[in-house]
Amino acid sequence: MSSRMSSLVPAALAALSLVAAVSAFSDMQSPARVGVAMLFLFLAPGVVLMQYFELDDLALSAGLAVAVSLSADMVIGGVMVYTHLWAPQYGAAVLAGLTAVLAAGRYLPEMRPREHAFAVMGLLQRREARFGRGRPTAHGLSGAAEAPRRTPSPEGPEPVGRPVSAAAAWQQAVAAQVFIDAEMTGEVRTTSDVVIGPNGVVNARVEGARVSVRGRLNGNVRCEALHVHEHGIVTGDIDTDRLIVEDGGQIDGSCTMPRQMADSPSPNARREDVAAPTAQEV
Amino acid sequence: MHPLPEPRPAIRPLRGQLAAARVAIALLVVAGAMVIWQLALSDVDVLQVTDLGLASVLPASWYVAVGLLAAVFFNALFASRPNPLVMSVSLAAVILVLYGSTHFVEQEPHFLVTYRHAGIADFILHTGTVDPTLDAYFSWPGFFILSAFILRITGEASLLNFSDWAPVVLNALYVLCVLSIAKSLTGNTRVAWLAAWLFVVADWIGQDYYSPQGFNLFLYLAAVAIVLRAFHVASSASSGRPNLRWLPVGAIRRRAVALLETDAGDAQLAALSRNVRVALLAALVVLLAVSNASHQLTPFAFVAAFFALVLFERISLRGLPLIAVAVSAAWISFFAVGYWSGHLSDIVGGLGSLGSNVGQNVSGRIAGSPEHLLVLRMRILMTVAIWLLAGLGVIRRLRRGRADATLTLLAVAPFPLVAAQPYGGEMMLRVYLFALAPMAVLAALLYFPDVTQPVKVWNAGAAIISSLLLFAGFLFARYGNERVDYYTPDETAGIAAMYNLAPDGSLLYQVSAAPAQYKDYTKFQFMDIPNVVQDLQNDDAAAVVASMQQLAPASGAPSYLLVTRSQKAQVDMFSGLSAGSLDRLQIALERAPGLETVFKNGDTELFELAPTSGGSA
Repeated sequence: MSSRMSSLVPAALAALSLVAAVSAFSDMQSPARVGVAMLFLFLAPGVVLMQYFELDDLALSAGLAVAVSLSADMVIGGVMVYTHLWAPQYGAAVLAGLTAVLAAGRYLPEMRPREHAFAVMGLLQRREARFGRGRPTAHGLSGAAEAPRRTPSPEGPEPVGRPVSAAAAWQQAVAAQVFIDAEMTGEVRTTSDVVIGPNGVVNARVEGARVSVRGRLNGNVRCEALHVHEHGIVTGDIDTDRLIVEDGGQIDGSCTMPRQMADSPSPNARREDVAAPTAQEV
Repeated sequence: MHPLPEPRPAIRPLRGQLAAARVAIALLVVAGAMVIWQLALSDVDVLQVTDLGLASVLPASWYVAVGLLAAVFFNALFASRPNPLVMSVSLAAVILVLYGSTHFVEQEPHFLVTYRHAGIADFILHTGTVDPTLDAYFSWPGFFILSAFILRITGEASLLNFSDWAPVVLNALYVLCVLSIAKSLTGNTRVAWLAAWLFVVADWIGQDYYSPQGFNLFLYLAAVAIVLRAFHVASSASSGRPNLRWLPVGAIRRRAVALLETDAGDAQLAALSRNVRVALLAALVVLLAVSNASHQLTPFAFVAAFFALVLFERISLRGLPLIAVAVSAAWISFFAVGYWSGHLSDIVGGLGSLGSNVGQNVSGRIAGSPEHLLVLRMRILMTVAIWLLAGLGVIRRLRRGRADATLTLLAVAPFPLVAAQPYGGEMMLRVYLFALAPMAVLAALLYFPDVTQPVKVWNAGAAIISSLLLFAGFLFARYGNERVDYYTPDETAGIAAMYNLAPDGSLLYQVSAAPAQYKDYTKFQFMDIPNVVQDLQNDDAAAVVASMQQLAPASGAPSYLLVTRSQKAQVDMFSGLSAGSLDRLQIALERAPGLETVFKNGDTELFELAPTSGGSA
């Protein structure tokens, strides 16, 4: 699914959830109602939540989306039964509301928590994102950027170059990872993880902990682990302890892999330190 | 600055077009197979099913459809670059064919217990309460609360309207989890998809109907998939070398540690960030809580699996078994007191009685007509076959220097449950079910022992042959009880007539359970006829009437006796009595004084105990 299409998914699911919740208050019986309600109850909350997780395992994401959705249904229903407040249509409204809020979180501009609270209360106008639309620059990263804390994890990225969600802002504080999804020139040097998104074109030398490339990296890279995803391209010399090149990923340059990572005594690390670039197939 | 390489070399477009054409052809074959399948089902007369089950009435074209789907799947699986789209579409079609065929050939909802489960959901929908004094189901009511919630939001009157889709939906969900588990531990496309295929053709147990256990198996597999993706040592850069200090003998410990170090050796998992792991842990706890609220057995499977993984240091989350135990203890202590306080001896009575429990689970189930005995033997064969394939997979991988310790632990972890409880003679079936996913992955590894090497022709051939053999066994094992499990419109019309005729509180006698209780869950009291086998042997209607008179409600509520087609099939298949025993007893009942036929159609007869000869004894 293209990124434009996938960006519409939260809005579509929020709308579907609201339609299902409204129809729950009616006595209408129709296949359309059944279909909308089933999609809402089986998928909507979980799919929206999984968008925050951004797992690299589609099967797990899909399965978890259903499991989480049904669990949410059951928890809400269970609370109503055990509190003797059985009114499923109101439960559906609550669930649809939660789904809509989660979905909206995917579109909120980056804000500090206090600003976010004001925005939720409707007291603050939506302001221009700090990294505004149409300005594809890796703000704060040009020239020896050191662990910027406003970029999310590889698993939950909101790219530099367009507004970042409030949830992603929370992720930044925890993960302290650099995400670049725009064209930039200069140098990236950090002790954190670096992620180059599908729209990223980085003409720079990169140093980081774990570097994940979904776009293009033109420059030498030195890191603990390098993961070149499908369609990712690295042109430059690589110095890393661990290397994964997915099917469809490309590397062009020399590769140096030390015998063992000094700070990673796990069996897995020992196993992979001799691994040649291989394709991760699933 | 280095020039950027072109992402698409000039040769790619032609190759891409050829690949797209192959995909299109494969999808067309799948569509054709589905058409053939539907045409085949239009020829099926389910009334002609014998004690061999659904296989006895399936036409050759049905097998042609399955063969085409298998050909598409295996062609994609063994291609130089396996195509996930083709494999997923063909496997989804196989799931639909294998688990959805009965929906298209039977006019009424399938399987007895489904009706009862629909009745419990109906009770909660209309009362908004649970009553643990009515039934054990109400001490673990989560699944039925969920069902009632779904019913209200969809506006449907009964879950029987879509209960027949449960096996298709649940197996599709199981397959997602199997794919994730296999991917996390092997990192190989072919192993993952072959494991999914083997799971589909080996899930003969039939617990995937509309039931708490079917739903909970999905929760169990989803939880295991989360644990393996987020907390397995292979995905945790901070995990150290296993030490297994609890093992007493140094040599054994060193050997075990060496084996564990080759576990999941082919996986290439990118470590998840801390916040994603925390979020997944939260999701895991929610799944545990939901499972505890909806099924009495699955939480113990969780504990067994997590304990095994922690004991052998396969996951970094060492407190997970304690979390599972704590959640279970909380549910049992606060919400299931009504059940366990009255059934403590039932719960712990089988503890440690391994021989007795196994006897109930195996030899206690081997009885019935000659054709049914063949089906039972097929089930045992299927069970042994999948375990054997998994065992051979373990051995073959060990010879390649890979100990799939995590998969092996997950496969054996449920077995101690057999020693704890006979579970009404069903524990072995449930153990098979909990172990099936890891067993399927291990069995798939038998054919791909070195996941980094190209596929060898004989491995591919062996995989196809064994898969087709399992499929043949599946048909008999899965649908061997079909003569009992389907219901005719006359049967459901007879039950509906009973609901109209009999007042609330009536006592309903039956030779065996009928598809009642799907609504007005507390309307009737149900009771099996005492000494029914003896009465059937002797065509002794007088003894049946005497029993009914003796057990008639003191309240003066009327008593009824129900005889249906599926009950007759059940007596023929399972009791060991001669065929037609219940037909003969039915004729005798029609002539017996004290009983009056109040409703009769082709497949149902309802008798009412005459008031003059009934009353309180």
